[in-house]
Amino acid sequence: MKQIPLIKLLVIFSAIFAQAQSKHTISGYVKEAGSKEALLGVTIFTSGGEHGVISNDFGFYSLTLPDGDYEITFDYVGYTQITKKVHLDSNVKLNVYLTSTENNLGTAVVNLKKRERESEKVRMSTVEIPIKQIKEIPALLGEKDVLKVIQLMPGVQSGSEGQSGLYVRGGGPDQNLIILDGATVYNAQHLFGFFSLFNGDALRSVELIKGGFPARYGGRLSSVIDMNMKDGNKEKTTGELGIGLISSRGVLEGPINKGKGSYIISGRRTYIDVLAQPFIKMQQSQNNTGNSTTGGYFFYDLNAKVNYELSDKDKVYLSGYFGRDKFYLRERYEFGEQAIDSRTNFGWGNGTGTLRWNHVMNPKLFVNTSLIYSQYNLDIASKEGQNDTTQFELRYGSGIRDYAIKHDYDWYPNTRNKVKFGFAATHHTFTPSALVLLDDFDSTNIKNKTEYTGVETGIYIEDEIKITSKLKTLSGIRLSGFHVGDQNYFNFEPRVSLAYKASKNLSVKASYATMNQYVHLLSNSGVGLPTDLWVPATERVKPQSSTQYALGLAKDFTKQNFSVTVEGYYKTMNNIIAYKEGASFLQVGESLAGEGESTRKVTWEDNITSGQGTSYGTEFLLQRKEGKLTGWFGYTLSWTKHKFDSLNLGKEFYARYDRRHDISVVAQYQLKKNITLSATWVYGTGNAITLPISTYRLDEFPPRGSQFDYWAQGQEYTERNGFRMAAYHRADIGVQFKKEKKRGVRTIEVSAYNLYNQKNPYYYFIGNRDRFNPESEKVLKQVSLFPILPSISWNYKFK
Amino acid sequence: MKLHIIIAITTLIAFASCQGVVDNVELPKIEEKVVVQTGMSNLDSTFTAKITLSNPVFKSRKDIVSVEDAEVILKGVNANDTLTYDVVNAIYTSKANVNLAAGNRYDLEVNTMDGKSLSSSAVMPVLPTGIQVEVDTITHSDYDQYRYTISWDKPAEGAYYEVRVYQIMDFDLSADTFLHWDSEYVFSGDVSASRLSERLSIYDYERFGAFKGVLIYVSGITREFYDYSKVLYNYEPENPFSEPITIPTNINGGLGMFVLKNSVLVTK
Repeated sequence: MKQIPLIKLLVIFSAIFAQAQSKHTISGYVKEAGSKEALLGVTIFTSGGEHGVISNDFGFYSLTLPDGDYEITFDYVGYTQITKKVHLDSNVKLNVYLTSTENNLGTAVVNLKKRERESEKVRMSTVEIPIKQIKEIPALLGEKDVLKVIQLMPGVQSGSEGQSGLYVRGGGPDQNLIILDGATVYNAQHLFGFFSLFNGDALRSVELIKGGFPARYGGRLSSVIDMNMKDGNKEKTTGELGIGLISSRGVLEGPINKGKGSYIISGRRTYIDVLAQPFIKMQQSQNNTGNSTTGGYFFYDLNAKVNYELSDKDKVYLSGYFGRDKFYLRERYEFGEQAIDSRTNFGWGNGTGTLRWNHVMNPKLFVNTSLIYSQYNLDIASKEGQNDTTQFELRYGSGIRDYAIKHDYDWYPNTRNKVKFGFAATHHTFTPSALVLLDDFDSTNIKNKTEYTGVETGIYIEDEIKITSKLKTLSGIRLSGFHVGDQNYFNFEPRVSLAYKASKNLSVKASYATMNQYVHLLSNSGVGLPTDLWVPATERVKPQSSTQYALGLAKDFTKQNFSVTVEGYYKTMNNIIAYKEGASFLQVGESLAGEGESTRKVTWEDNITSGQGTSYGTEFLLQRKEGKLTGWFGYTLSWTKHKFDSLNLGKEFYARYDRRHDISVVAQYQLKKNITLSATWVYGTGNAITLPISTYRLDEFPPRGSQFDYWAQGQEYTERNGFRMAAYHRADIGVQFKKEKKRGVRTIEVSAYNLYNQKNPYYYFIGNRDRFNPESEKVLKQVSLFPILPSISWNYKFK
Repeated sequence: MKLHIIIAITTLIAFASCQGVVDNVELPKIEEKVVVQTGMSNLDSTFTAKITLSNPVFKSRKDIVSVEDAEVILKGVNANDTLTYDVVNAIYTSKANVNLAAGNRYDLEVNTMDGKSLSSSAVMPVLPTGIQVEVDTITHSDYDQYRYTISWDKPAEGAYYEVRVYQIMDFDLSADTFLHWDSEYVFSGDVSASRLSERLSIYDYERFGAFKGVLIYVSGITREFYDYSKVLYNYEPENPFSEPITIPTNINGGLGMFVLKNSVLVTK
């Protein structure tokens, strides 16, 4: 009797993998008509929807069916469905071109037939964000921002006012794997987090995964944000220009050897520094001292990509991102007869590069090989000298640099199985700190650099299996490893997602995922400063790990054209790190606290402590992706707690970004063909912070009488993160006016950030009620950053 | 040019922050706490305690207030005493000589007139043994350095040591010997080596007088005091990049520290 289940299992697997001789494969690419841009995530299904597949990240699909006559439908949000009749008695290659339902003004034509609905997807905790929505949602100073749109999704929290950091299901900003064309982006923020690197101009797709992670992803605990850049228009040269309040941007794309390849270049630069120059010069001319000061801040982004079809079966892509923030200050002044020249620079930036080769090995097997480079670095430099000689020089830097290879297969053995497998290896070089300090005055000459190298590996296999007509599963396993110094870590990471279709439009879903993370981000209070350090797991600092369970429902309301998902999750995190109390990134290279110079010097490992985290909650999402009125309503109820032996006296405490309630409402309405209205409203429970509550004297021991009095002032705080800031809420609105011109479409957007001028707290401090009177009452004060901020931008998209 | 200026002003406004008093959240209820800083070493003859009140941040009191009318009781082998308040020195002192013995537990009780009761206890640590000190001179062109190396028997697991070093200076202007506090270290018996090597720099020889040697206390300390000392080494509340520190206390019902040290004094 005991053998029966095993036999049943074997029969099922045999049936699943059995290859009937009378089956053949339809395969090819799905592309956009006109630009021939590959379309990923297109639903391809037979009439009746019995068999189906989704196009992969490069637009490739493969569907193996018994011989016969079929009507194959290709369907994608925002594009007109196409149905092709296919007579199948041998393998068929079928490239399909879908036409956008947008007219020249970008107005969507509603097209609703069969879609892959939420209730049909096996994956849960996954959100695809249309680029069109990103471009229409009102933004701070009109700067469109992918990460800030992601923040509007349930389960995702922002840090503080205006910040683009992401806190997904209780995880920190370091626990998000942000991938751009396969390359990891380590610091996705400009201007201390007020803007992100991604404005959507060069992006083709954005997907957020919060749980139920497919095995092909690894290396982070809390989320994956997978972004793909556009390939560029293969038919004609075209472009886009945009001018905003603080930056301008441009996109140029066009064909290479028409039809065979294409390129796209996208750039953005701020001009705060340029605008400020007249004021600085005006100030200097008023001072009339002969001294001169120049300074400013700017950031820029540059995305570029080229691709080329070597043959029907081979394509190559080369893409890259380069971006940098820079503060600079130069002063020239006279001191006696000496001319002093002082320069200070503070900059940080990312660079990524990806070379990919697609090869269709056979109609059922697609392979992609990627060579990837990624780096992030921070530089602080200060130099002072007189009469063209340098007398003082300080250079501090930190960063991370990766070289990686990925080799991924998509195998479509039959209509029941979609298999992905492959491996990845990444060579990391971490530089937590590199310091050069030269000072002629006291003959200081310090040069030290700490550097670690590590190799991270991952091998995986996953299979999306249609077990019955009602039950689907995406199961996989990833073996991850990390080698650093003499230390080796290996971990199995099983992943399972299940979807059971309870009725035509309702499914019950569940998922389980374990994740490991071999890199840590050392961050003071999680503010997300560029000074945060990327460091590896070492012998002393173990890799982070997490286990996440999720259970949910997905319901489609097809008549009304919206979907509802409700998910509950429970996540545990181990070996998460934090700075020890009183420690900061500046305390490196000193003697170990209080243990004399003969002991070893302080390293970043001495400044940190590791602990556990728990996060659980419920997320509700009501979303409408098509129609005159689109948008979503999201609500999250969650708890996030941490426990570290050496923090908060070992007691559990709420994470800084623990947020009990988080609401976001996003709406876009097509008022007329050429007018789109958009609005957002967000509400979130206040951040949990540690507040100083009293001061007291710390005497030396044994305490002595008043004549020998020596004491210092101690500070008493609430429990760690034991005080709640006021709740955050804000409304933004925007309106886009489009006009068709001779050579393209002009869009003017007028928007307002923080419409009702809510003074949301950025941070709290203790101060005097009257700031100019130190005798006045001590009160809790807040600094608010952004009042109501109107903005206007101009955009021109060439035909 | 007009447009240029308008854009610049708009941008500046965008980044202008504003301050305000927080009136939409409930502030934590903060009570004044009694702060007891007390203790002694085997080298002292009396037991002393400094008792003050903490100063809640939202009160405008500027000065530290001493508690002058508390009942302070020390209990333990050869140490039962009720301390008396010395108004001149603003400190509580034991009436009798106290002789603390290693391994014995001592209890402290503090009762204030407004009904607050605080308590603490500590076990007298074991005396460090095998202490040796060597001093080498390193002469530089404009100053001298003395490298002193102190070694001691490795403390047992779970034991904690403190080393305090003072320079003994002989001033030209005075016949008195001046003890200049130099440095202080704490060690955990669990992880630390039983050896300390440190340089002591004597700058501007002519001005500050003759260096006569070093005075070194090597003390066995309690775990609580070890944690307290380690925390205070990192204590920089004014550093914006520094995490807030919870200063440990072993005073039940209040703040502060009850410290017992078993010390060996070495002069070299």
